[in-house]
Amino acid sequence: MESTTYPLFRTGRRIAGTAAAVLLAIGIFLVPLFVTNQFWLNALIMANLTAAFVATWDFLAGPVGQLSGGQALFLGGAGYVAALAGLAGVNPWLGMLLGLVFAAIAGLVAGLLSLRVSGPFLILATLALAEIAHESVLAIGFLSEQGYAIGGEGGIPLLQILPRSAEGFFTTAYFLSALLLVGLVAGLYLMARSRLGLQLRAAGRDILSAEAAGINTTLYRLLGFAVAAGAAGLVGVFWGQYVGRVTPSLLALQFSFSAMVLAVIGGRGSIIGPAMVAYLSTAVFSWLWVDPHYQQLVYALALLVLIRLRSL
Amino acid sequence: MLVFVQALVSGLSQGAIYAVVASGLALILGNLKVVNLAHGSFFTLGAYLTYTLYTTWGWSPLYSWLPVGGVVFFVALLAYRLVIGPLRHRRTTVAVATLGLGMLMESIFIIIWSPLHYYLRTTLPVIRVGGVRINLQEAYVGLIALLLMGLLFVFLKTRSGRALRFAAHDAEVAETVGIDVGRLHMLTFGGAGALAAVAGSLMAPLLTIHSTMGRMPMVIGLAVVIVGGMGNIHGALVAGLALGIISSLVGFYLSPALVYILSLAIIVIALALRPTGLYGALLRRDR
Amino acid sequence: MAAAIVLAACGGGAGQQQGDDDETGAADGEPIKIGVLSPFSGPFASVGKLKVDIFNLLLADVNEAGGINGRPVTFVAGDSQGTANEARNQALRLIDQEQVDLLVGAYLSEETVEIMEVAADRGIPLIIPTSASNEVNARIEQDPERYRHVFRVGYNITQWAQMMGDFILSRDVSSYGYVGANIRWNQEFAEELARYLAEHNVPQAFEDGFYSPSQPVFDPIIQQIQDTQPGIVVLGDPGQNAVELAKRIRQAGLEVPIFSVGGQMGDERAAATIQPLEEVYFQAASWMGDDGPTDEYFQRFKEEYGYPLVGYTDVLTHDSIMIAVEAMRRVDEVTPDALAEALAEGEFQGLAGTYTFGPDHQPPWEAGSDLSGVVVQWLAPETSQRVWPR
Repeated sequence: MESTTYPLFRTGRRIAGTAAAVLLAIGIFLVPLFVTNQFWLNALIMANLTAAFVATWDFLAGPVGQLSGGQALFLGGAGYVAALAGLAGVNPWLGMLLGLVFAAIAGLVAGLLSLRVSGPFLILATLALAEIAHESVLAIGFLSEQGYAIGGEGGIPLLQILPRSAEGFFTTAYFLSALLLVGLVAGLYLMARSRLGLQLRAAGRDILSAEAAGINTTLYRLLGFAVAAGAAGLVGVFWGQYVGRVTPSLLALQFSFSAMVLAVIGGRGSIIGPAMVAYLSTAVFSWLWVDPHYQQLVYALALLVLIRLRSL
Repeated sequence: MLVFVQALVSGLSQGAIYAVVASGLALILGNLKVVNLAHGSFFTLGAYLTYTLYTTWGWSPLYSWLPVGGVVFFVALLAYRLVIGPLRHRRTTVAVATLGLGMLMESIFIIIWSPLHYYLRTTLPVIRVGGVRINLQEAYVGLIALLLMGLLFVFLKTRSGRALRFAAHDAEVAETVGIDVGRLHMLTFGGAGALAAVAGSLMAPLLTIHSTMGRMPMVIGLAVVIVGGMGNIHGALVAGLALGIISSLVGFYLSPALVYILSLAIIVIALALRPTGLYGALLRRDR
Repeated sequence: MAAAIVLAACGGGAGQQQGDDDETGAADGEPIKIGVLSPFSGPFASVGKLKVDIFNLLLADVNEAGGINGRPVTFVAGDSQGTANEARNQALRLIDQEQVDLLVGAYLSEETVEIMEVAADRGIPLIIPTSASNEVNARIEQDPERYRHVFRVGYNITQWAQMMGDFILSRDVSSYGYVGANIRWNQEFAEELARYLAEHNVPQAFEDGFYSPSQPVFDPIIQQIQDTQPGIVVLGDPGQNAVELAKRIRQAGLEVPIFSVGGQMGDERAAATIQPLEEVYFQAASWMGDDGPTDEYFQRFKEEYGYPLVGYTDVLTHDSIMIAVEAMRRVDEVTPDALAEALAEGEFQGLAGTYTFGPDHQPPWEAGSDLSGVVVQWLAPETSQRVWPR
């Protein structure tokens, strides 16, 4: 739909857009003033984390131009590395850092793969990597220092830096998750709009032209993956710290797929749209009471309706 | 040596099953250029219908795949009309829509058939030929699977089949020569759904019937399709058989526990070595 | 987006599953609410239906008999969807929005350990019917103050292995085979069983009995059974893969006795597909056959709902509810601490036997005791008999 937009109008729209985003961000931080109920805080914390996770997938899909079928690998993998480090006696902060490092490296591996394999082939390859991780954590158990078996389908506990029994745990966790969400989304969004983002986009879309323009596409591709994966890893280590446990469902296919689904509904590539959709749907479905027998039905119908609305 | 032959025999029948599940996916992927994530649910529908036909009228699962395929063909047409057709544009959007369709179908199965699991008996025995066990039920499934894939190949050579492939290659030009691409797509989706249901129907006596039984076969089928070359039926057949045989060899010579992980690893390696799959050509990227 | 808003408008904790309270009974007064957590969707959707059916049937009886000290009992269900995150979400919803007095659940290990923490944080009593992980007991034992409201009813891995090991020893076999899914608790179970049987000099016949749950291949396992000829084959997976494997073992003409940990192998409809159905056994918490309350309950349930019980999740859920209700009857005021004390110190009758809770809040499941579980043999489709303990 072509329309002539006058410069002033465009600037006005941009200012309005930025103002709206800033207001939203502020709003997210003000929530605990009105909400003290643990159920609600937990639901919104999960909304924050899910939105951040979806944003990382969308950053990869949009600016970097690559589709990941196994985003859960970066999130869950980082969490597991942090948990395993904890089992080995490593300080939790260091453990989180190690988790981040793992995510970034895994991102690089995926990035290297993407140089060779593209489109749906890449979706499958990343999906396969995530499934390998999922199957592995289900099968491998460890002995806790107290002498009982952990790991596998029950997951691995993490030493929480802020213990869940601490005063104001949920409120503090909420602030931190909000900070994570806003910081991550803002960071990814700004990166996408920046010159760096432009180079990433070029490296993702049209390798030949980009190379001709002097852009080292390999470097930018890998950078894009490392950023997206590292960001997901950051969400992952935070998730592990909040729950106090990492579980196989964090590496599951359904989890990777859900990120993709929410991003597509929210407008693939725009980062903020997917984050908002993820936030809203997580919050709404946490709170919405549907007879558990019909919960999946309602979710599926909502999905189909939204997809239909989206493609109008 | 005996073990090797046993592994091969087991692997072939398993592989034929992977291939037929994959063939429906390949059909859609190759011609409609979309991933059908509801494929698993059509597989499941086939199994449920087979169960109902058996318990209500005593129809043997050895033959009921035929009427089941027919019925699900129309169910798939309907699903296409309601869900996919109106959305024909961006590939990821359609993929997500099919995911929603699949989930919706799972919920509907639970409403119709309740969340209970169902079980059917096998009717064909296991025979021994020179010390090698041959599960005739599995072999039967494999044979029907190969037969259907053969029919598919033949179909693709017919006039309609060629029209389909033409439309897949260049939809716009196909429209201008009078091919109703929309209708072709709908019929293809119907056919793929029917194929999935037939696979589910044939497998019903060998598996436990429940609402999510089609999920893993679909994932494996997707892997087979993509490694086989994205929509290439030959590729799906070869990749399916290869996966079946490799899985069996891994199970016999290494450990059954490692089968899934090694299958996944081999998929990643295969993709790294042949980035467009065994027989594939690169699809145009969608924007 | 509009749809989400419309859906949101009709939500918000408005509805709940009601126990079937009979108005002609003497149950009135402020209702007691029990929260139930279970998967209702995905691969374990059948568990949710099972739990709701059990709750409905049992609470109808309870309310008809006057409820709990005159108060009717109702339940509210939450779909944990098989993940720790959703389990936590639903647990908090049940506690904060629905104000339940007690929780029962969940099903999968990752759900249960998570809601254990929620229950401990919030001081709400939690009764765990299944979920065999040893971690649950270990946590309770190591921090009894924190977990004073958490109790488990079902057997843990060590007890399970010992109960099954006793039956195997009674069979006087020279070796046994173990087949399970390649997930940690199945491996742990295998180790516990191996350790127990090794003490009595019964070795394992083959090593590689684990299949991948996502892509099971059974033929290599059939091959090992055929080659090593164990005296009995133990199926450690309570899920459908065990049924499929059992079918194939018999199809292959192997006559080795099959002994399942329970679960789907206790479903007579599954057993009916194993041909020939000879020497097939399974472990259960309780079963029909002694003209006792279990017989009556199993028959009533089947008449009411049209499907059979299998003796594991159903019995343990039933007993969990009975214990919860009985504990509530014994206290003056239904508060978490009163309930915790009543549970910790009391003795409770269930279908499986007499329950008491030790310092780790675990009942003393043990072969040879009052709470010993049973081993059942399938004789023909829909015909079974208890074979152990004699």
